Amino acid sequence: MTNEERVKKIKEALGNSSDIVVRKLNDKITYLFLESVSSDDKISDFLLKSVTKWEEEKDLFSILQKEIYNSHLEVVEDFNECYYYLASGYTCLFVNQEKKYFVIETKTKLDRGISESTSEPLIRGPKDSFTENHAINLGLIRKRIKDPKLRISEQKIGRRTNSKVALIYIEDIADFKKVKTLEEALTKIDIDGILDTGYLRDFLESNEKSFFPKVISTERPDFCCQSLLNGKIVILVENSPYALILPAILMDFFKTSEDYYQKNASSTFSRILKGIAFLVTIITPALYIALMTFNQEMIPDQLLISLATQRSEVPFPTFMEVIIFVILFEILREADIKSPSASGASMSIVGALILGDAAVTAGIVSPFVVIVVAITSICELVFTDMDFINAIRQWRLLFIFSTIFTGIIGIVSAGLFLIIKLASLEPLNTPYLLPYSPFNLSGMEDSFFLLPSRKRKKRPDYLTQNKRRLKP
Amino acid sequence: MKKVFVFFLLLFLTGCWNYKELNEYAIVTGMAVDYKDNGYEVSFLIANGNKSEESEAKTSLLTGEGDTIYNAIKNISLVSPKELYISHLSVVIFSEEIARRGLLNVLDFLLRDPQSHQNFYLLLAKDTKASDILSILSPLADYPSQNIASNIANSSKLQGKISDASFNLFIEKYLSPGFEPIMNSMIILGDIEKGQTSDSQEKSKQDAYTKLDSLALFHDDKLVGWADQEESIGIDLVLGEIGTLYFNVPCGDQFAVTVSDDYHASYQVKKDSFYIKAEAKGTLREVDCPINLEKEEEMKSLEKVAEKELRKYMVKAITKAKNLEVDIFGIGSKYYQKYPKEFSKIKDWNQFFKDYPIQIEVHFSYTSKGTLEQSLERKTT
Repeated sequence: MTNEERVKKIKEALGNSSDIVVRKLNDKITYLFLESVSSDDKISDFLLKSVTKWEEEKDLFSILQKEIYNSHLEVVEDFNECYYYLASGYTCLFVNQEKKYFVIETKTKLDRGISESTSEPLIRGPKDSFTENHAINLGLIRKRIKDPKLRISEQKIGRRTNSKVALIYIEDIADFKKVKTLEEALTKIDIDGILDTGYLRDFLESNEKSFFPKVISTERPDFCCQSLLNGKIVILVENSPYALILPAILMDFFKTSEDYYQKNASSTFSRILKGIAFLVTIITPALYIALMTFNQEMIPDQLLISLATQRSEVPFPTFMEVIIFVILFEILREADIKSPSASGASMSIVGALILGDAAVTAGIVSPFVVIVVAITSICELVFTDMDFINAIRQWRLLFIFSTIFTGIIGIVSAGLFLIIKLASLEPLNTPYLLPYSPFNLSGMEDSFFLLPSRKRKKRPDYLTQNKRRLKP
Repeated sequence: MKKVFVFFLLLFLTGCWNYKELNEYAIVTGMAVDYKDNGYEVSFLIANGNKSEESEAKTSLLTGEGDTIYNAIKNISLVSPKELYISHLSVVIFSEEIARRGLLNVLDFLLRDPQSHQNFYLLLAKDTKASDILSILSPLADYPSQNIASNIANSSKLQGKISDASFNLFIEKYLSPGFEPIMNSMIILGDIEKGQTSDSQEKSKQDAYTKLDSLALFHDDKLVGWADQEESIGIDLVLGEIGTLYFNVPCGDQFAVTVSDDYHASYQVKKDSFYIKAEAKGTLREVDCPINLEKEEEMKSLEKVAEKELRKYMVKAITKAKNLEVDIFGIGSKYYQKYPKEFSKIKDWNQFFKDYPIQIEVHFSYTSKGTLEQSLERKTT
């Protein structure tokens, strides 16, 4: 194929896109790149300087292969692959009448630097977080685990986006069956585009329907590495600052990477607090409704009388009050997340003063409902995983609805339903309620109670066969 | 989708059974039963009245009459705009007349009513209408029944002469063979009319206030007599239900006030006699006489006097019970547990109890003399 034919073909394929730059150096050499994703400086410095000297040589192709001083040079045979390379910021260099051609890495920097984690901040521990740059993300993991057994198996998913998806695991720790299952699940995906790890989640979670997430999303590389060392598998997608960790069980959402950097006693304390917060945030509004409308005999005398006096001026039924306020809070939070930070102050004034105080004074809700919703939402904010928080919200509504009709019985049955549901989940053959159900001794070392690092001798055996963590 | 539909269908099928908003209830915290024209006059103390300033609850007293308790209550609900809710009843007060005629009807209602939680205090109004006691406002508690209930709860712990006589306990004693119930009583001091207004509550010296008085003795459900202060102490001593007891130990012509906070009574049942062994430890709280506390012998002799004193209370109580022929100490039920066959042969336990000898042995010792090692009057030594 002549160079002219090639250029024509590419231009046609890309629809004469405006960012195509073609330069014919001489009769033999033509190169082509997309200026939107390529760096001009790199092309001038690392391509042009080394190429212009050579012109009419006999063995031009092999000379160029030696002489182009760019660390990342590939010889490609398949012409159709050039579109992927062009879009990735490579420059294609064609030599007339040669079947093969060169692709030279000349990417421009299209991402921000490594910054501090915003969604999972912590006080003690490394502050870096993943970025949109795939190579940097992989590097953040690689620089932490220098083991040669660290495996990064990569494939491209998405017919149109052609995004790189990396499956990361440590070969002699991770369960090979789980890795295989995931690899197969990934190859099966035939989708037009993958823009974030969030796209993958649905394909990787098994078919069991559940509000609770079966993968952990995190932007902390140190948390990923902790998981890798325990035998879990991490998935990174190009252009996504969030990694997926599989398999996830309920207990994982009560852990943070900081737990292992602190004294074990304080980590245990914070995990138990989270456990309490989990129950409180799901049950409180439902319990309030049940006690106020069905089971008043369970409220202590004095509280009952003060509740009755508070409520005497409220025209709505209790469940309406609760639902109005829960929904108002959800809207407020949604608005707070999505709004530019400049309007945050006015938001909190409207939220706290007008909705809270004025609604009570106006007699739309009773003061206790404000307390209930406040407790509920504060407990919810203890968790960082968005999927987990969403699951909590959905279950909370379920609890509220079953309580509206049946009182305490509703809470009990919804609770039973929740436990059955959680116990039936098995992401990647890992029971969701481990290490409590089924009971697992090795998992107990790192459950709500965290043993000090020097006493945690084993990795959880439901994740790995290679159990020994500490050498005796 | 089908499952979700079925789930919601299930919820709606319940029809919100038992659903009731809190503001539809009138919360009854106190109940008073008086006798009137061959029928009952029942008064309910409603705790959640109108919301006053500072969102404090205002109480109100509603009264209804009827020939049965239930009728009387139904008549109250004609007055009340809200449904009467008696789950949070904390005290039930009877007038003396009702108690003399028998409490069975009231007790049956309280036990049978599904709303009743059966964990409240029973109280007898002495020399006054039962409903008057409910209407006396106290500045120390938000509403009268709470005042009364906490008064009984605290006093039964801190005073020897008040019994922790809850409804459950009364029924339990009523139902068990060879056990007669007792009940606390309450009197009103001062001007009743003025004490019912909230003005009285704001004064530093109230116009009227309620005070716990001596114990009432029952035969089955009927009031048969009153115990005086010392007998009341004796009853609680024999029952072994004393937490803290204050008593005066004679010492010269004055007293050495002693507090016993470690009291234990053990019993021994024999066919022909009953044996009580009481052990108490105490401390000195007030010494008015010139006794030499540092001398072992004088303390020993003081202990002996204290033993005698405690014994005196118990003997008084037993004599009273024997005279009235009511076994308020549950000696019969202990006898029944040990000798069920012999017990069934006894026709009338209370008759048998009258002539059943009871022996008492008291051991008392001082554990400390308080923070003062010596009596103040002996400053010279």
